Amino acid sequence: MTYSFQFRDVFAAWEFLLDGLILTLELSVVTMLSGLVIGLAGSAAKVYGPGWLKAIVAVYVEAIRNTPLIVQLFLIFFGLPSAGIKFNAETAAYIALSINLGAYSIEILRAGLQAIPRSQIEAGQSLGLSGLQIFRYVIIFPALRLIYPALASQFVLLMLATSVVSQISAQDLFHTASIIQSRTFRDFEVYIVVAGAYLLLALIFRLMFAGLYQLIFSRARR
Amino acid sequence: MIREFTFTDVLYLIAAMRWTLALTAIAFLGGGIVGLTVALLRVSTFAPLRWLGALYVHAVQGTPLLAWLFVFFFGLSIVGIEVSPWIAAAAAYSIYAGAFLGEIWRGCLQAIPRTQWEAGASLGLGFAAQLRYIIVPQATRLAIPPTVGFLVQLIKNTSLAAVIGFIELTREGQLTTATTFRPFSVYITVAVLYFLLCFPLTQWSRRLERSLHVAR
Amino acid sequence: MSLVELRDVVKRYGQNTVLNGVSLSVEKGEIIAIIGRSGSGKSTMLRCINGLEPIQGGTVAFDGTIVNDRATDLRKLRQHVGIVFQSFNLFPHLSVEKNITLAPKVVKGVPQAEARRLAESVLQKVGLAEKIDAYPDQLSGGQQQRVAIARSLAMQPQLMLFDEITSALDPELVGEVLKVLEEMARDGMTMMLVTHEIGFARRVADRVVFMHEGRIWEHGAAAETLGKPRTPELETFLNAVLH
Repeated sequence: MTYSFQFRDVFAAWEFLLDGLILTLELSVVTMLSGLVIGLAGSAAKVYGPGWLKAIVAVYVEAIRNTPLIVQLFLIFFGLPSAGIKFNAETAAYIALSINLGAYSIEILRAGLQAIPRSQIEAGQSLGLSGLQIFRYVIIFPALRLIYPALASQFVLLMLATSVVSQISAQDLFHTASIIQSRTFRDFEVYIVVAGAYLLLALIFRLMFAGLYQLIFSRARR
Repeated sequence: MIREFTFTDVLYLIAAMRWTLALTAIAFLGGGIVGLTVALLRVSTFAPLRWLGALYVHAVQGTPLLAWLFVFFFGLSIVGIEVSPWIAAAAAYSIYAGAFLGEIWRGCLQAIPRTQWEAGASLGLGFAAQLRYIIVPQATRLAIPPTVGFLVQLIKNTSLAAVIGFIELTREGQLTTATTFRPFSVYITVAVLYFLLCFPLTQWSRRLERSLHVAR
Repeated sequence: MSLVELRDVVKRYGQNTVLNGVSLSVEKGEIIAIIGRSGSGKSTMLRCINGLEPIQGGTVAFDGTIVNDRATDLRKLRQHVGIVFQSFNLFPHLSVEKNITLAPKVVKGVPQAEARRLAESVLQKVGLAEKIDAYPDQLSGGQQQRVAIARSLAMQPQLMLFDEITSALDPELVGEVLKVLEEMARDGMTMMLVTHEIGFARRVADRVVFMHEGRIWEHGAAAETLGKPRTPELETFLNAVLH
């Protein structure tokens, strides 16, 4: 019990931490955007699409949601090269994270779309709007508003989950921890600092999402 | 030595699933105890206890599970406890699962209308008796589908224990890859095995959810 | 000594004053009808009497015990004060019998066999003896409300509070609930009821309390107060309720 904490060495390596932090941020933001796009397209396909498309989306969603992210990542980074498809670690990370978040987003958005009452669609139809117009002007806004909290917390979970890419040696925030650790031998302190950094990021993202909600939805009435 | 990826390897992977399941069970047990405590803290009538519960949930849900695994793996050794991956994983997963289960169960407790508490109080029942006889029995029904759903998350997340050398399905996959150099076949097999564990639970959770809505 | 004694009771929700100096005494065996517009504070007053609402000023006493004293054991007090709510608030996961016997068993330690007999006898009083094994969702609104009354009666309270207990019922079900109240009145139960049933108040209540803007605006013997309102507010209210 004579261990004395020494954080100085850890903080001395702040440049590494910053580099890692930046990649983690990039991974998170890009994945959130691509996940949202996949989610919108996929959920629309799953709710309004033809049967075969629904089936494809369902297979995708179930396959991803019922297997671990780290295995998906390994499959893409280690597995695909043997089929002749090669990525560097960062690209593999972007792909795996987007595919993963996309599946969750589809499920969340689908619930939102299905919560919009049929009468709303019928009202749009009777005004002569096309299917796409109804989706754009009548459905998507209230649906997004409805599932916004679920989507936002899924996004924060995704940000935390990006730490997994350290396991294929992508140089994210979590990976810098192992670099600093090997230089300073301050195992415990390193992970405390890194955990603190994630906590801060999570807080920032939550605040940002709350602000974004105000910005997007506050002026609109229920 | 490089070998072929054979059916024997698949059997080894299947055998490794028992550690995935064992870790899930431990995590669920530990997380269940922590989660129940957290849920009760968060519905407490004493505000500082509620804050304590909220602080815990925010801290755990704001940090990666991976960080908890490393902190326990490296952290416990410096306070003089000999850590096996088992202990580190059990501790990290209990903390992690406790926060999520706590939030799920708090939601279920709070979904029971306040008037039910009032009706109990008006009959002279105390806080504990109201919880035990009135609130918890009703909340349990609501809690089962999301709890089963979380079990799927838990099974999937036990894969992260591989990073501290805990030998379960994913770690076994890594080891098999190292000897066979057939990562694609190995990880596809691993993914399929996870799917076979998780998908039935996912479906079950959905069915429970639906029957709950019908019953209402 | 009065059974219930409210003195200068003040209740606020944040900036909003709901009760603004309410004083009222209720004697044993009396039946008090409380009327007034929604938001006038009548339900809140009722809920202060069994301590469901903490108050910010004044005192509420029941049988000599100060309800708003922090040292008062509300659990004990509530064993003597029954309350029935507008929305029944039966426990949906428990059968009628269990709804009724839960508190006697848990709070008073009444053994199972005796508790069952108790349930039978209170159900008899509300005319639902045959529903003892039913679940709340198998009953009509009127039946549920009668079970709720029976549940309170099983604790053998000295005072019964009724918070708009017929307001959530379909009109054709109101009568069966009011009939139960009338029988309880004949049995000499002390009752305070918030109600919109003016005719019932006139027939059954000893006194009527008209609440307006968080105060007791007017109050007196039932027939007289309802027949000859002294304030324009009560007159307006009665005209609106009676069309």
